[in-house]
Amino acid sequence: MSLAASSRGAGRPSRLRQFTGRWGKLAPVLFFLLLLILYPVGKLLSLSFQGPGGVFSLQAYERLFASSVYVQVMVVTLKISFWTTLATVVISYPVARAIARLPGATRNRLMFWVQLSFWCSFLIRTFGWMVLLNRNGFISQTLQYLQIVDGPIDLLYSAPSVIVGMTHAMVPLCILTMVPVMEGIDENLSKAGMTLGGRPGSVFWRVYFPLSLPGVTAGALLVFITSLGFFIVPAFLGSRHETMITQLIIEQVQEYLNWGFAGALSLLLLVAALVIFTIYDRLLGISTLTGSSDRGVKAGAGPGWAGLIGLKICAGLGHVSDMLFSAIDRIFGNRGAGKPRRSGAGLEWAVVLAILAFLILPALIMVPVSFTAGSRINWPPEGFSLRWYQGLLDSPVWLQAATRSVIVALGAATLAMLIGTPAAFAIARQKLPGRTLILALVLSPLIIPRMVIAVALFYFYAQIGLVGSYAGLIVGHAVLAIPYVVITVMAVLKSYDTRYDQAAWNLGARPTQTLRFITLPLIKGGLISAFLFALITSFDELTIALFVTGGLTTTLPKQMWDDAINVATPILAAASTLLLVFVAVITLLIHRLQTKEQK
Amino acid sequence: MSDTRKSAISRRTLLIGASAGAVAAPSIWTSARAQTKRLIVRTPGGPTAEAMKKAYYEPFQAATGIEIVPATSNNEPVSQIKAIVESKSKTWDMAASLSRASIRQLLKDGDFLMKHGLDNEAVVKEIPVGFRNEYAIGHGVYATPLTYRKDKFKEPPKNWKDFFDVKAFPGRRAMRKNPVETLEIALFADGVAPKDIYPLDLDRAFKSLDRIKPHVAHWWTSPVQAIQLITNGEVDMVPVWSNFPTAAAEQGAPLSLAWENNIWGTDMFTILKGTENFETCRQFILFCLQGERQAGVGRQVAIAPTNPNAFKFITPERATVLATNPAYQATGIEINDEFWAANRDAIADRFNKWLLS
Repeated sequence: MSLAASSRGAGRPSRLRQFTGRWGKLAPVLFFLLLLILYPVGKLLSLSFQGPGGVFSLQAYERLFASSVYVQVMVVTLKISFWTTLATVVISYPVARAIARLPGATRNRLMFWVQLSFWCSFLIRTFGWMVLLNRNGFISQTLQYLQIVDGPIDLLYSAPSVIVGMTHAMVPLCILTMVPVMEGIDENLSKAGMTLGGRPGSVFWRVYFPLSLPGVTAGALLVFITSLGFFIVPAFLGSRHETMITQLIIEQVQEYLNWGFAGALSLLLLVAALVIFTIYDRLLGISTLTGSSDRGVKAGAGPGWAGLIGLKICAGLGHVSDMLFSAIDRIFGNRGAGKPRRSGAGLEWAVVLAILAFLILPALIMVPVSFTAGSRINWPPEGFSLRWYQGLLDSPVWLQAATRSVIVALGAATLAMLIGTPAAFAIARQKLPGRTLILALVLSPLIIPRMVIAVALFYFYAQIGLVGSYAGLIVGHAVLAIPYVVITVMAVLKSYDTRYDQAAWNLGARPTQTLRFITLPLIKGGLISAFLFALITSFDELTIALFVTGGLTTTLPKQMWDDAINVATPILAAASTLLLVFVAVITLLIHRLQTKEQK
Repeated sequence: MSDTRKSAISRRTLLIGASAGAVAAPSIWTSARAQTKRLIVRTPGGPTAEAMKKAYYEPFQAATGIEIVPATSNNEPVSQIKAIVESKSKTWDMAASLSRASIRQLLKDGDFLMKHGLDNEAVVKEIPVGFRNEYAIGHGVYATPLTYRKDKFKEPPKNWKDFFDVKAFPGRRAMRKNPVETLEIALFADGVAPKDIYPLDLDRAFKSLDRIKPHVAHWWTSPVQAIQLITNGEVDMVPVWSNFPTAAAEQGAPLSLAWENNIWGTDMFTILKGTENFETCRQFILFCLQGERQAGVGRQVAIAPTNPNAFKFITPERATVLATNPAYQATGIEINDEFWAANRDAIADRFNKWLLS
């Protein structure tokens, strides 16, 4: 069956219709990214091939490899991103699984805590970690008070503190990518496995885990690529050894004003990301992401060598966890064959709650700090006052910035959904020539350092008069949000059974009806996650806003940044606390509405 | 500001789906600007911007009726200025607080700035020649002295030699993760005289840095981070731009400054090519350069005046935190941006490598 034909629901389509059917859904995303990413960024990066006087030269690249330092920094960047990705996936998985399997109310409560930490600005979280891990910070003082340690302990400024900070920032993203996929897994399959005599560990690793793999790979990919571009966390939480490549790019742009070399460094990062991307595709298979469903069937019939190795690993892990579970059962004397999962379930809950505490702690620590009478973000807060809240309310700038951020985020998220969702359908379901290339283009806003995109957009906007406008900011943020939308929607489509659609067609539904009444309701969870990502990407975005506003208007992150780099007063903590309350109220309202609807 | 907002709304309505709106926008904006007489001035963020607003922008509007609209940007907005001039979008008319390095870069890369032609004005003549050239005039001076915790030292450190002396002055240190100023500090610590600092003796500087490296708990990238470190007690000494510790000390942090061999730089006014308000820009610059106006900034933030007459309007106590105080100028040096422009790439490579090793 031709996919183009099936998507049109008509008989044999003409060549033209086949062409538009194939490319129509992709046209907006291709146009958008070529115009707003490839063209301006390409123009900017071409500066790296210019010597003095604008003639062609490889000077910047000679410098790149003349000293070992840049390759060294690239390796550090890859290492930190790798460990961050591993930690993030391991931490996110149990929470995502719990959320996906729990009944309505408990599920919503867990989701609420995950989202709460996600909405909290990356700047606030970094400051939160500094308050927690500082030599005289919360953890150090608490441990001293409890007499577990004698003097102040150094927790900051090391590779682990950077990885903790980055993992913390990435976990919500990873959880929200995994959940929709896991919700699509039929629990009866695990039950069937148990009925057939599989022990819990084996059932999990041989049945549940392979089914959840599209979510894991999508999450890992998003996390890894996003991690490559981090610069604030390593700058604030790392030592001189944890220098990441984006820090050097920004240093070249902001302090040395050397665009050519910044371009060369960006290209190095881009190449490294693409190499990883390709290796990842070959080994773990972004094919799980890009593969159409008929390929999945084929894989089921006869898995390739990578799949075989994967199955073997899963089987091995199953054995190991079975042994662990029975060991725990033996230790706690819980040998009853009728309830083999009890100790496992208790452990699972403990782990999930610990992870949620980890997620929310940096934002929570800012609540007491916001009531300090002192003028520094310190631990413990000095006295009690409302002066920082007063300061917030007295300045119209903060409220204006918040309002602007909300408007821009709604606009950008809507635009990104309109462009990204059809593209996800096309990439996930159609046979496309050069699919990996298209996917690389779609992911490029994540891979290219934001600073580079920001300046490229600024050049471009200046020419067409968009600097300082709402439209410019919305479009700029939509560009950044598209990769998150596409990946998330693709991940749910992967676990979506297209036979539902075929059934609808057989019953006489038109394609639009099928989409509206069958497909969209079924992938609703994924669409909501995608919209949320887009919303938060824009709401928390700083770099693009710094440039394309032309300095004439301000957004909430820009206002926070201005405070953070110039004074860093507890007004940041007050803003973060108000934001936390605001988001909590909104999320609770939405959940309340949803529950009512269900009743 | 109301006009910008109005035009922004009209643009938004135009832009719903129509690219025609985007093309029409600049003309709406420009005409609105020409009528109401306003200048858009690139301005730094934070307390410095607040101080400039109170000391320069508001009094200027009160005196002339011309509104000054601050446009905030990152530290060295060279790429923005290039884009604004090249695209003729006229987003900014002029820039305040631009570093000498940025101005050098803009002059080197093309035709982005205008000659101000103000050298014969009386108020400009009050300002020492070292603070100005034909494209830009300095209106403020920032400096890096040594910041230390008053409560941690019985005998306070006085200079960079003390900063490098870990036996006589035990305690944790932080330094800037950038070779600019850091290498100068290393040479001062090694006993080099102010007049001999440039051209930098790199081998000697790095050898000197090797001594302090194990004692540097953190390398800061933003000045607020440095202040955070020292007010939290994470470190006891740090070289950082003086306006930041001064502000923190005013809020009660136990910080003090050692000014011997401070390293300073100049913040400058410059006019962007293509502005339709060249005369107004010149009028505004002359207004701000008056000693009394500059004193207004210096009283609020520790950015020092370039016009020596400003000190007539500043208390002797306040003068102790201002870098152009004659007592501090005697042993201080200005960052040699010419040296750095010529050597910064090679030095940056070496510095980054040294940091990682």
